[in-house]
Amino acid sequence: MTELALILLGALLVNNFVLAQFLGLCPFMGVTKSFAPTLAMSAATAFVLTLTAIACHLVQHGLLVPLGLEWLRIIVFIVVIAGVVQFTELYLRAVSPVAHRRLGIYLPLITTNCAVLGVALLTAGQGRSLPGTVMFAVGAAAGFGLVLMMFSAIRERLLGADLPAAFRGAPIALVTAGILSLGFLGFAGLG
Amino acid sequence: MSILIAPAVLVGIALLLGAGLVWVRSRLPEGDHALADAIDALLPQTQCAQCGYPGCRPYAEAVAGGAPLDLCPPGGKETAAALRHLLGEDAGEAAAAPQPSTADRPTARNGGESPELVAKVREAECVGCALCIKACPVDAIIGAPGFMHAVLERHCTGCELCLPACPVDCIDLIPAPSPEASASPTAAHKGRYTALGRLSGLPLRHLKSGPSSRPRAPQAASKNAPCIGCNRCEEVCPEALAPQHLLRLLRAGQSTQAAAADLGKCIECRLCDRACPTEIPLAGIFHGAKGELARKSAREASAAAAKARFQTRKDRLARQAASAEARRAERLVRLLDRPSATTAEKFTEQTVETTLQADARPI
Repeated sequence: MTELALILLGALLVNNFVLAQFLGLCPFMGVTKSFAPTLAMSAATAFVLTLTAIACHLVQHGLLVPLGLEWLRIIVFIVVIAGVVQFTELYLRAVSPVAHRRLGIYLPLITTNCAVLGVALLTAGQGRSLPGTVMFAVGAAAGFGLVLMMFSAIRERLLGADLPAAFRGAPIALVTAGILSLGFLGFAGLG
Repeated sequence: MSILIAPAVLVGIALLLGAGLVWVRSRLPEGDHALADAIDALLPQTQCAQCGYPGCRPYAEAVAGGAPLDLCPPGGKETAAALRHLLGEDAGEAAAAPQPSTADRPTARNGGESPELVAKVREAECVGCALCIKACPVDAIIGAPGFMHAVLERHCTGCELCLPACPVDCIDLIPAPSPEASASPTAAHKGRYTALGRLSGLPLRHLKSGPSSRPRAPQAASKNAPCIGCNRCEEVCPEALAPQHLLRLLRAGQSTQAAAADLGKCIECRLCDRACPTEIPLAGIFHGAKGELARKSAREASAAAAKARFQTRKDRLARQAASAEARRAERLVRLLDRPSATTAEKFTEQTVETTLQADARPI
């Protein structure tokens, strides 16, 4: 039980995928311009991340290891991720077309989000049990969403701030991301 | 053997996922209807067809398919803003920028930014038939059979539905008198349409498990609380601004005037929030307005930059074409004999001119 909690905390804060491992930076900079789309994006990514991690774990231990095909896992995982993203897109389109329209191209781009593939590969590589994998994926997804929402809230505030012209837009966003990352360094040693 | 297994596994997984997708797709309803429903709920439902589509529902479906958002004169700016809010700003921009299907829309009178129109009865010619009263979707025409009618300008949406009903053609559409003065009652009146179907900014609200009971509700109520003009916010403001004046400007939708009144200097310290006896979240309102203004100016700046870039490129292409033509002419002169050189020169001048003209045409 403690082990599972540690895995969750480690994936959520200590080894945060965006700010400590620098994975998934594309949506981190891309969709965080305002809060509402970020919320939807975080939810979609979290859903895909958790589901793919579980699916990839099952594929890895049910199919690839018995057949001796571990070397095939990157391609297989990418196929699985693409399929799950398509499921999510269909679902979101039917349930909330407004959110679907707002997310636009970023939704299919979850396929190429390296955090998703990163979680799948890491869990497969470290040989975790299924509960451990689920915890790790949930922690990674929550950490991703947390950081994205934090960053979008900060960027919304920065929009109205009185900045030198050279810093406006992307530069101040990058500086902010760097400071946030420094802040997350403080969690090192917690897990 | 393993050479065969690897592709088989890969293809098998892909086929399995593909079959699953097809099955899910056949079970789920088509998404665009739900979007059109949401848009339709924001439209005024006067069915006036001034947008160029036969009614509100067809226009809603067209908007879901990417039609411009600002074609609804009865809804006016409020509806356009609500639609933009629903679809996200980027979607609104994309739909407004290229103006794709101008040919499909035969007569859209209003570009959204043109002045609001109201109907006016030419009283000398009115026969008192009362037909226009029945036609009016918002009950803005008053009168009785046998008596002259009049239009309540405050309530008229300029939908033109009374024009075909009038047998003697005595109704004109005139620009609304001083929209600034009558802004708040008109806005309040039109708010009737939009408030019903307005959707919140959280796009996931539609999800069944979505945060439908957000704790924001009480704040949203006090956000519209009336300002009683007690002046306390002005007394506490460390930047010596006039928060209540800014609030009044912002509520009337005059954000540019608010910016001129030093909205940007607000440091969002929330002292005015604490001082306000009616608990209006002033700093929050100012924060939102500042963000809105910043976004607007950023959009304008990027549009100007794109325009400048396009112009530079056009000029450069024209210059290149001209210089190429000149060089070709020089070669021609060198090749030809003395006596025919003059005609060659004339020829080149002509061609250079025609190329320049051809390039000057808008593409």
